[in-house]
Amino acid sequence: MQRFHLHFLGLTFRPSMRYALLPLALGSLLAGCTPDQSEPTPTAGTLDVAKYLAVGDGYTAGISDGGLTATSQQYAYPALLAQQFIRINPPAVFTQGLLPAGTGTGYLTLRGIDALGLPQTTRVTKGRAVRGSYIANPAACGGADTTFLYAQAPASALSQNLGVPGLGLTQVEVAGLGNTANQSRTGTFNPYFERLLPTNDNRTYLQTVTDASANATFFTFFMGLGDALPYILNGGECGTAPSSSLLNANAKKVLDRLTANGRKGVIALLPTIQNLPVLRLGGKDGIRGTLTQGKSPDSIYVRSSIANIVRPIDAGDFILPAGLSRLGAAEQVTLPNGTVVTARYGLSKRNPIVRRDVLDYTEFSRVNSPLLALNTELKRLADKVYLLPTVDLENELFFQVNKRISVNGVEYSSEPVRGNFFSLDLYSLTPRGNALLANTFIKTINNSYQANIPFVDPNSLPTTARPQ
Amino acid sequence: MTRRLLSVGFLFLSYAASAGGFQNGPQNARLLGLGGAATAYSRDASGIFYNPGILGHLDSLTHLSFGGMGTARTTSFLGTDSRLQTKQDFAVMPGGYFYATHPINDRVKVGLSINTPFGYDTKWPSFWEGSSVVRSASMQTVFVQPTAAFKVNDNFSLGAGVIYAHGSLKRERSLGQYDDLEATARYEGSGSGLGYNLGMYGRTGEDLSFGISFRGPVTLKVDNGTAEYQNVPALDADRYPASSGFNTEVKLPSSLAVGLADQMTDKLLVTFDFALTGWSSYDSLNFEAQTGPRVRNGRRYEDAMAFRVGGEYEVSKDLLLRAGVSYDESPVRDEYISPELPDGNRLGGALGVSLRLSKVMLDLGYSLDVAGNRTARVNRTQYQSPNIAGTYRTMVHTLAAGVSYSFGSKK
Repeated sequence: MQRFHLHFLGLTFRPSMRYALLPLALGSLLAGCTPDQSEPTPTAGTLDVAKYLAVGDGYTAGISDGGLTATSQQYAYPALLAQQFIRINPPAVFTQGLLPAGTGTGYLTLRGIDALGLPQTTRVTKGRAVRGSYIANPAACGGADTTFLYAQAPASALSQNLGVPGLGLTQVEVAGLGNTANQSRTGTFNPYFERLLPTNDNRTYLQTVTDASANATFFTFFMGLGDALPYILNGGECGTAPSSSLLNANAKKVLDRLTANGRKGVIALLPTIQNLPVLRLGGKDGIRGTLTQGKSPDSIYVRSSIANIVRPIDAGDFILPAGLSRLGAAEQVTLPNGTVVTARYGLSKRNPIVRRDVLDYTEFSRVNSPLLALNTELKRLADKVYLLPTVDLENELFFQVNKRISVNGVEYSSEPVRGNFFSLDLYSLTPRGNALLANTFIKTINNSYQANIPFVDPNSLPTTARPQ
Repeated sequence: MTRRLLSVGFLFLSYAASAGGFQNGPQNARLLGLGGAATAYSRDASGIFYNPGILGHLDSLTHLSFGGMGTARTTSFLGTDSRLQTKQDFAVMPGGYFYATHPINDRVKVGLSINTPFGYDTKWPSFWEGSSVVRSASMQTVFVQPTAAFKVNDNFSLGAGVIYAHGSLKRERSLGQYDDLEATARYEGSGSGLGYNLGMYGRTGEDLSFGISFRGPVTLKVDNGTAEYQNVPALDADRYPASSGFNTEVKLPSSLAVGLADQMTDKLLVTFDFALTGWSSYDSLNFEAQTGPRVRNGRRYEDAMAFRVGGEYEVSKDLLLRAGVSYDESPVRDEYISPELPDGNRLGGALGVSLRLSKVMLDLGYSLDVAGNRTARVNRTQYQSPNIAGTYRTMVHTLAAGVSYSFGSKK
């Protein structure tokens, strides 16, 4: 500014008529006068982020809108984290087993939002990256099902994103879980794991993590929800709830491998499952209360998993989205004596909510208790055994989103579609949700490793990973 | 008596003070050069806005003073989350002033003041990281103030004016919840209001003069506002109607000022001002929409003090030089620092000159205010008050050029 003052005085001491030019001259001079602030240089602190390995389930893989696509993989939180690491350390590499561009394993599209605020979706199977071979399983729980083989990731180097949709901690020692030859094995074959491995590879997930971590410098661990979700999504009617002791033991096994040789990482503590919209919407604080107002009778009836009896809904029961969207529909019901009556679904004892459409309090407790115990164990392991930081996803993110947050002027909430956090399947995250998840990890990394990693701007990402 | 009045004034000032915020610089090229210490400066017609009492003590000539000014607030922002710097687009906020005074007789004088005392023009790059908080915002005001003053005796005058104020405001932000970058909310409206201005001016002996003035608050009633929402996806079209009306009120603050002017030597006049601006009336800016969402913007401004010192040196009858220093407290609380108007306590320096060009005086003034860094901390769970975290650095440049002209017969 010193220069400027001198210039000004120079002009004033020449009492010429050039003052008309003054505003112009000053304008151009001032335009360069915006005060500067130096941008801090991002650093990873004490952390080596040259080779990052992500371990987890569908959340880590990048499931969004009910499927995995090449696009959704790119917005998975490990990919967003890796992007920030590469900004700090340009030689760092992150290769994940991407599906061929423009393909995926199917996804949901939005037709509209119904009167209750539930998204109306259609499953799109076009452009699926199917390898041609499939096995039909007519005896699958919940109706005939088909297991596909999906386009394989390059087998040469294992993917640095070992997120496997549908993978539970209870399965990490199942040999042949990703072996192509086991495609017809129900429950002990995972096509998402298969595509990350070479053909006919019999390694367990634990062995794969061991192999992949050999040259990794940093890891994130986010497992456990994969053990609960299949059970939840089927109303507790398919499979069994995970065993607490197996969860805890296997978590330690995976973490033992990941922390070998003093490798640094971040361990995620799980969000509570009852706050995922897939349960929350049909829970006592969800929309089910508004559904019955003004209708008669005004209580909801469910078929209980205990003794298969019909009973009024309990505050601890959760109606799943399929049940919610059908709730109150007038349907023809055949009574035991053969007469056919019209009864509203869920609002009449004669037409209670079926067991698949409700996760009752017994079932919820069966799946929730082991997860709570797992969280306690993960916290203990991190604090006492591995001395590694944890990221408390419930308190640092999911709980906040449930209450609604505003990030740089854009609101995020657990509201379907408009909340921009949960995707159409009501449990996995949108690209922006993944950015907020990545930022939660970054916050922990910055605090624990004296790092200064910039956050991802969620508002700059698309609201959905599906083709628009 | 003078002494008593002054002490009352200073007492007031110690409780509060005022300026900053979206107050424009001193509304005259001469006053700008003095750092705005105008309450007891009686050498120009512009005094009637800052202290109507001055009008009573102007001489028997008819005075005119008019000109234009430009204010540029330049701000840079360093995002706490992104660690990136964003600079505001350069925008010059135009302003202007016109003052005329005319003696009716030796005791009664009338005058007219037209100026632009409040306003701001904030423009961020269209797609900057805070564009969903604000992309651009501006306000412009024009104050018209017919004024009359009465000279009680040779040493004391009283003056009063009625203010008619008109203002327009604009605000634009992007609707970042949608993928379409062009999804935009735009608010626009204008309104008017009335106010008053009172002042007294006195002299003790030849060398010392003083002034006290109070300008009442003005509320601009905006009832023709339009809220436009563009490029909103069909799904949410009924939540954000393409166009709807809204009402709002903009509260422009009162100002209490006390000033002294001392003719230190034959050539040098020094002026001092304390001013207290009643910004606390600016509590919020809420758009009450007829259809579509209600928009609430908490402001919760605080009253703010300003302290100004100016000096005018008479090189010759044809050349006057000025310099001034000012300190303006910001009315914006820490928790309300936002990109719409990132203000800070400001330290200003000013320079000015008046040159005689045949019959008229050419007045030039320039000031540079440097605002202290302000850091906005954001709690994202307070979603009702959307904001962006980061640090602002602001400089305000004000440039004014005008002419003053006196005619009539000197008695």
